[in-house]
Amino acid sequence: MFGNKDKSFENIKDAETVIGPSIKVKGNFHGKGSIIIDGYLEGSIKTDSSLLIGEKAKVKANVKAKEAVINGTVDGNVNIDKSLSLGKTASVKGDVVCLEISIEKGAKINGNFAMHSENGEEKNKKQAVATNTDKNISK
Amino acid sequence: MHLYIYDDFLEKSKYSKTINKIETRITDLGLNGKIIRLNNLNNVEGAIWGEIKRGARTLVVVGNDSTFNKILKTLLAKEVSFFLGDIFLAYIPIESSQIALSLGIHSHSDACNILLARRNENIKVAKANDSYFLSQAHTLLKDVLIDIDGNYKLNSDDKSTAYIINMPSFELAKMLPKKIDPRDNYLHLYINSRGISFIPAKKITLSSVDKNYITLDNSNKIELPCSLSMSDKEVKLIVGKNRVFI
Repeated sequence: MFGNKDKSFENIKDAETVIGPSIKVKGNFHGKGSIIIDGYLEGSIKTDSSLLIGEKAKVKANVKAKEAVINGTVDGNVNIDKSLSLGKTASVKGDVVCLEISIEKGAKINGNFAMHSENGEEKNKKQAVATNTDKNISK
Repeated sequence: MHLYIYDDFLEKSKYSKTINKIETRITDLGLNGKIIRLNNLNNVEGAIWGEIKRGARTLVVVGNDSTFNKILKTLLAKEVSFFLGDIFLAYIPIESSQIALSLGIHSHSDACNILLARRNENIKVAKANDSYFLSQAHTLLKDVLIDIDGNYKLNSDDKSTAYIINMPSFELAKMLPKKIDPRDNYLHLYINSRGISFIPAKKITLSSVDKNYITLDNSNKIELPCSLSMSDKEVKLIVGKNRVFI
């Protein structure tokens, strides 16, 4: 669903659930379908579909999704089944696991980083502390 | 058989021209039926029940949104609801009406043609505590805590309005990021406060520390806490092809 960070905001019509910038959420946020978060969320996020965390969003939660674009702040572990895209304003404080990743220059990861294979096994575990990179890493 | 239910306010002389036009059109289309007037009835439920027993199967509400809600409430009452599966509910709006626009009815003359075409949809009715609503409920967001399906709670300091939607009004439908299907067993929470929030849910519970209310279908106000969900009841509505929902 989310091809890149610019396109993702055009896809608000495709999202099943949207949390706007003035909204504060607490609890287990297990959304139906694709989710866009532009507000504050504390607890956990889970979806079988796509997730977009907007530039102004602050998320204090473990995140699990099929694919994700992160442009905001995440304080928690990020577990993505397929592709993860970190925009230049993204900041992740926690462990990241995904199948493939795209990281824009300026994005920050403070935690362990691992790629998993199609069957979900983790491999290439690396420590990524305050990463600022413009490289694309894939399996 | 058609049963036309006229509201009290139509007795006023300023409406007589409109009523004459509607009655002429109804006659031209061959849709005549019995007329009952709410101002002559002490027991609306009893009167409608009686007419249904005598064979009325299409109830045509002639009035405004408040009239429509009054009749809907009557239809959903225990005894009458037994017949709901066989009854069609139609609406001829006399004044500007959000419910009529939602159903794709843009004027009273439009309503007569739609009544003739008889396109119908089964629409599920939503429940708020012990009350029912067809279209949407709204409350001021400030100081209200909203629980979604018992999984998470949300709130906002903004003074905007939170809408809980089953079948959106015409105006609201234009603002929503996507079309809603009022037959999908989900309610949708919609908030537009410095950006859109849009959340599908099976059960939405609103609570507030201070005294606060939620308004159902722009007519019925109930005090919080309030739990909203879809009911097991549905009505057969006669709709226009330009209705706002899927």
